[in-house]
Parts: sequence; C-alpha cells; structure tokens
Amino acid sequence: MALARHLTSEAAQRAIAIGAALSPTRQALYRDPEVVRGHPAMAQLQTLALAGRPRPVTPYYLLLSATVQPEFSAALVGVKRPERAIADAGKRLNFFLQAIR
Amino acid sequence: MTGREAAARRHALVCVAPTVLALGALTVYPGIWVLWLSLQRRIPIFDVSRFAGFENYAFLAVDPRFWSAAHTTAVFTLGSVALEVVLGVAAALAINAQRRGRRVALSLLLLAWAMPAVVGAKLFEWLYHPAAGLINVALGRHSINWLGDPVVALPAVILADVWRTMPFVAILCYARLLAIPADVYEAAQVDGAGRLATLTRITLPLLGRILLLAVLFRTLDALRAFDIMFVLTGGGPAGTTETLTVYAYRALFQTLQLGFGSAVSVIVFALVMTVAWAYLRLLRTGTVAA
Repeated sequence: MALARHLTSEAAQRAIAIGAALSPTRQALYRDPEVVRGHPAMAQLQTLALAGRPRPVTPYYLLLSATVQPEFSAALVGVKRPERAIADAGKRLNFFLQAIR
Repeated sequence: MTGREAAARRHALVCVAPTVLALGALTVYPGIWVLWLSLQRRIPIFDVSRFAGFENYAFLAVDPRFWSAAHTTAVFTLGSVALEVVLGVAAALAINAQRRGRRVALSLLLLAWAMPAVVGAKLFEWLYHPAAGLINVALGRHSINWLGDPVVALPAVILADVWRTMPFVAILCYARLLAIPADVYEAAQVDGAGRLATLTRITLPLLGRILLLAVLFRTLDALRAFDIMFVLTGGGPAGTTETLTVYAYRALFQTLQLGFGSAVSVIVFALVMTVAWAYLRLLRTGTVAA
C-alpha cells in the first residue's frame, strides 16, 4: 500500500516523467513547468491520453493488428511507399477474411 | 535363412523398434499433420475449418511479406555462414599457431557456443541499446539505433549470430588441424613452400571436407534461425529482420491461422531438406578431397 502511495505521489510521478519520459498518471503534471521543460511534447501527450479508448473487444483485433502493424511501420520508416503498404495489408486481410466470411 | 540368422534379424528389429516408434510419434506424425493442415483453412477462434487444396500456397506465391521473409532468410543465411567460416578458420589457425594459452582460448570460444541462444541474444540486446549500449558508448555517442534502423538491423542480427556460432566452425577446424601430420609440413618446407603456399596448398585443402560439414550444419541452422531475431527485434523494424520461421510463428500463433502458418512451415521444411540433400550429395561425390 505504502509503495503504491509512493509511486503514484506527485513527486515520484514527476521524477518518472522527467527521468524515464513515461507519461505521468497525474493530469496536473502534464502542465508542470519542470516536466514540460524537459519534455515539451507533454501537453500534446495529455490531449492524446485523454482521447484514448480501450482496444475494441473483438476476435478480429489480433488478426488486424498483426497484419497491419508491420505495413504501417514500413511506411513510417520509409521502407515502403504508403500506398504500397496499404495495398499489401489489404491484400493479406482480404485473403484472411475471405476464409471467415 | 538359417534359424540363427532369423533370430539375429528379430533381435535387430527389437533393438531398432524404440527409435522407430519415437521418431514416428515425434517427427513423422506431426510432420504429416502439418502437411495436412497446410491444405486447409483453419482458424479456431472463428470456427473455420475446411479443406482448401493449394489455396494457402497460391496466396504465398503472391504474398509480398512471404517473399520479403524469404529474401531476409537468404541474406541472413549467406551472410552469417560466410562470416562464420572465414572467422572460424582464422580463429582455428590462430589457436593452432599459438604455443601457450590454447586451453584458455578454446574455453573462451566454447563459452560463447555453449551459451543458450536467448541469453546470447539478450546480451546483444544490451550491447546494441541505443542510449545505454556499450557499442554506442564506445563509438563516442554517435548514437546508432542498431536494432531500430531498417538498414542496420539485419547486419546487427547477423553479427550477433556470428559471435555465437563462429566457435562451432573454429573448434571443428581446430580438431582437423591437430590431425594433420607434421611431416606434411616438413615436406613442404623442404620443397621450399612459403607460409602462404603452405596455407593455400596444404592446410585449406585438408580442411575442405570438415569445412563442408560445418557449413552444412550452419546453413541448416541459419535457415531455421528463429530465437535470435525473435529476441533481438521480433522481426522488426518494418519486417526487415523477419525470417520465414518468424513469419510462420506470427501466422500460426499471433493470428492463429493454423492452415496458412503450416503452409509457411512446410516451405521452410522443403527448403531445409533440399539444401541438406544437395550438401550430402556434394559430400558423397567427394568433389572436395580430404
């Protein structure tokens, strides 16, 4: 209990945010001057964190994620053109889904 | 057949039976089952299970991710085996030329070889760490993202594999070097052969057969390599280190496509068997004299 209280305290969360760049669990810290000085993107992270939703509960999730993720990654690092990555992912998904339908 | 011969035959069959049974249960049965699965569309979580003929194979023929994985497997195998042979022979020659400390050198080599693949991979994961890794610190903070950059990730994985398996080649070669009689070298010296001539005319040809054997084992291992890239990169970044076995694993266990994943495994199996057959033929025809 004491450990949980300590780890979630403002001081500990500030230290974790500054030292390890992990998103703090306390909202006030996203605007904390000391944190923002080290990590200027914190304010945007808060917007993102608040807009987050849990994964959809569907048996398709794993299939979609495992198929699409490497293609998106390839497009992001420039290994593939985005159109090509989407086309490749689409082709695979069609093949997989055609078995299920 | 005399009664005695028949008895001997029965005895032989009884002796062989446990091996045949074990191989049948552990190798042949699962093998045939995978082959059968690869001809089906089978996805347990969606309750899909039907015969599909060669549908999975037909898709693989046009699947870019499969061809990318095949390409990665080929580059990984060629790169790691070539480096291992060159470094392994060099290490064996170096140890053989040493007067002192042979045992220490051999123990150090064996240490790398005896280490479990996952432990070795974890070690390299820390060495390659972009911020705290020893390699980047030694490079003077020219921070290279070894495992995150699509261009250097595969060479980094190959290097980690070479470190772990080069000792295998080195120890095999060293054992062969010990068996070369000293008079061969003395005769060469009398004939006026220099160091280079002795190396290329005597040592390397005599190493030929054992090297071929080492290359066979290493190629088969490299074609099936899974643990090292699974631990180091998980097939990333952007699938640039995804080999056929990692691809098969992802299809089988991450998307639970039992039929499709089995088709990939069957291809890996066929590939490994073909390579093994080709090497064994080469060994048997004795084109490499020893």
